Amino acid sequence: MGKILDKKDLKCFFEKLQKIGEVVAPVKNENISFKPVKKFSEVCFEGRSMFPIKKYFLPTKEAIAEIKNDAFVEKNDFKKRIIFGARLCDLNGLLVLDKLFLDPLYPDKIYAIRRENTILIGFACKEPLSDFCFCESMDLKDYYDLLITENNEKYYVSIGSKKGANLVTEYKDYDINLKKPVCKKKLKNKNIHDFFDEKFWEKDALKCVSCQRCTLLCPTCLCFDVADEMNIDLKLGTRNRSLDSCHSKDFTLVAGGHVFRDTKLKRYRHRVFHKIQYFKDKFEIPMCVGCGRCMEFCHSKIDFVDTINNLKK
Amino acid sequence: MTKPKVAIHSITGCAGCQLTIYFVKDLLLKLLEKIDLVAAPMLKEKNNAGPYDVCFMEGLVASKDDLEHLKKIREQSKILVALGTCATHGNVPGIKNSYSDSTVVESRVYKNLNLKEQIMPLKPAPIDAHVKVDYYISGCPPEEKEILKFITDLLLGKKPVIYDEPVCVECSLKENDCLLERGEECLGPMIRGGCDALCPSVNHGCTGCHGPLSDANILQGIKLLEQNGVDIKLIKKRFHKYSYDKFSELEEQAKKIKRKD
Amino acid sequence: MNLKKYKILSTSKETADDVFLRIETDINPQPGQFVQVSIPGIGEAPISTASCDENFLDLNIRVVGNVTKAIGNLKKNDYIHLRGPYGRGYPLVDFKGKNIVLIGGGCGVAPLRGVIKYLEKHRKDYDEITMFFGFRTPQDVLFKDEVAVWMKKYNFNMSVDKSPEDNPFFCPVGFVTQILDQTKIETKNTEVLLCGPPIMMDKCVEILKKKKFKDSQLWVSLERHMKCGVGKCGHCMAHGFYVCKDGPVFRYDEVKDITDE
Repeated sequence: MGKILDKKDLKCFFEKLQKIGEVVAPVKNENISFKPVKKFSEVCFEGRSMFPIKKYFLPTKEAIAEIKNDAFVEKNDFKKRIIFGARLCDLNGLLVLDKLFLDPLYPDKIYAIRRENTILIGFACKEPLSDFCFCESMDLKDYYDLLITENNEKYYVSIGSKKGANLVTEYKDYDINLKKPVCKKKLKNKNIHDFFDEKFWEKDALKCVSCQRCTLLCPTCLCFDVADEMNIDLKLGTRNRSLDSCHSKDFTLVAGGHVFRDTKLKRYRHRVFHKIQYFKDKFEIPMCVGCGRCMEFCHSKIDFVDTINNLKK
Repeated sequence: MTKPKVAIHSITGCAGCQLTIYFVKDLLLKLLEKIDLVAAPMLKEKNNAGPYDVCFMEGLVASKDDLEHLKKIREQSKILVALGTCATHGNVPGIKNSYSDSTVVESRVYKNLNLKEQIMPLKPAPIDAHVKVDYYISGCPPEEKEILKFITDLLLGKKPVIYDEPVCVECSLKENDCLLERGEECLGPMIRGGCDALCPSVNHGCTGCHGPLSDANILQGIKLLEQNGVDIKLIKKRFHKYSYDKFSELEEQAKKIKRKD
Repeated sequence: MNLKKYKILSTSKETADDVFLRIETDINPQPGQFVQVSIPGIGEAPISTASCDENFLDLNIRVVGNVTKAIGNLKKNDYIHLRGPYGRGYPLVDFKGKNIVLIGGGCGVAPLRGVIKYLEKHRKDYDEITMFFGFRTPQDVLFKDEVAVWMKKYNFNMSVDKSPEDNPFFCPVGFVTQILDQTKIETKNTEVLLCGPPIMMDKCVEILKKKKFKDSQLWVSLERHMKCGVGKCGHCMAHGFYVCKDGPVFRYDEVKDITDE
């Protein structure tokens, strides 16, 4: 259920959003990238961005505190932002991040403020955006404020929250069922506990060059590093949080010098298990949203879905 | 707090690495407030001999003179830093090692010199082939921000950590379109970053000036380039340009692993 | 970041590598939990707690990295930034009425000191208390004054790997595993709490199993790279467990297969 917009209404709607805050949307240059946009015509309605929208909640590197006179001053970001044109997989990626960063026991203040000040407006996919898409297998949830589906020169806007509903009160209601895309690629086995043995992962790991693109470009990979950086005067500096990767060879290095996951195989296997198994065991949804970026942007096109589908005891 | 005694010394090389330190512009004066630059023959007229707390050594060992100088400096330095790809990996002069007979090169370059007496050549090698090196900051030239971070960490009493992730990391974070995926020649996945993906960001494939990653997957890297239609001979030439020895070593290791399988 | 500033009440040098801090704070951890200690400009490190008191917090710090080195330079009346306590400690409340065996090696004895402090406060709730502590040399023994007291009050066993200088405790020379192996321990109604280097814990578990202890009677404390301390950053994750949040203390049967990851 939701509202219906005529083709020309969308531009007006977009302009209305610009009055609320900074609108970021996919823009196509050499590749597609989410950027602040000024004009409706800049928005790219095809394909999906290489880098996911997690960057607006967990910037790849940011100062979480300033260091001044041997003390910390915490930083916060209250910018109102509208993410316009995210795909359902990326929006579900936020559901995964929310589970951790909005955890009632240890909520992350910076993340929570950004999350609250952001409006999420998605574009539904009419068909899979690449051969690597397999979101159908990952049971995506309707996680958005609004989701726009284009159909026969009209835009059907599904409402996912009160925040979203308030934005589209003036439009007409619709009552039809919208088709969801069918993915050719499927993940057939979502319980891989029994396949931890190295022999199942060896072949893929040999092809891994540790470029970390699978994790950096993943909409749910959030592993981060925290480090202090000081100016050369040694008085002022920042405590920075930056995106890290479990494929980095020192990711599990402890103070004594031991590295727990010391091979490419162990690191690759850990990523796959975290995405498909570990997270689900804890939070009931898998960490993977089926966007396929980790395979599409892998230099060696390591296909973990294929590998899992072929696992046999 | 007493300022640490810092020296910048040089053996065979183009001196571009130490220029990077002098080119930190507005920060140089601030830096000099914190350190005591006791020796920097390129910059200063009066240069003290050691002991040094930290000595940056640029260049590689290519002659007997180089070796003597290097050994003397090592003895005088608490911390010896190999600065730049010549010092860390042998760089361009190391290409000579790809010839089985070095005199072929020498006689063509130094036509009218008596080699044995005037040049006294040694097999070109990174400085750690001859002395113990405490830290490596590679790059041709090395990055200004890496040198500054290194000095800042030392001043704070921290053990400096040198960035050791592939160029692809910074390149992906900049949301660059991948050159390898476009079918071009880029050594990014095998090369240590820290350069903010300088070349790929302007559409030029990485040529590998920082030298290989400590755990580079060379065999797969070569395969990827071959898939893009790059000739294997050219790939090897690219590798050998900056770090002949290290790449040969990694290649050997990789082949051994493959044979085991 | 939830960091708060607290005053250091006292500092002392426990051994050549360890410093002991008493901090004025109302952070009252469960024994086995840890706090995150920050030094501005240097960084943050997880430190296990070594006390159990509402008015102060004791930390024993082994100087191994940047942050611990900086902590080692702090003095009485300095301030220190803390957050926590974090993680799951030893569930001592559930062990009421039982025998407790503590096995610790090196700086792994520090968290067990917190356990001892707790047990002393609630002494009548627990039955026999037995300890097996191992250190490198007599000079490396932590909490020397208290050890002298523990020796008299409890079934106390201690060994040192070697004794190059004098041995004021007259303790046997050898690994803690040897004294554990040679000592008869009641298995019925007993919980065993272990903390120490992975190798020591593995060996001790082996011996305890020979003594017919069940996996579910053993409690181990795991070491991993921790950054955030609150189950987010991913560094400490091993087989789906966030060691910082789900641990660091685990019942052995939960984690017996994950030690290598």
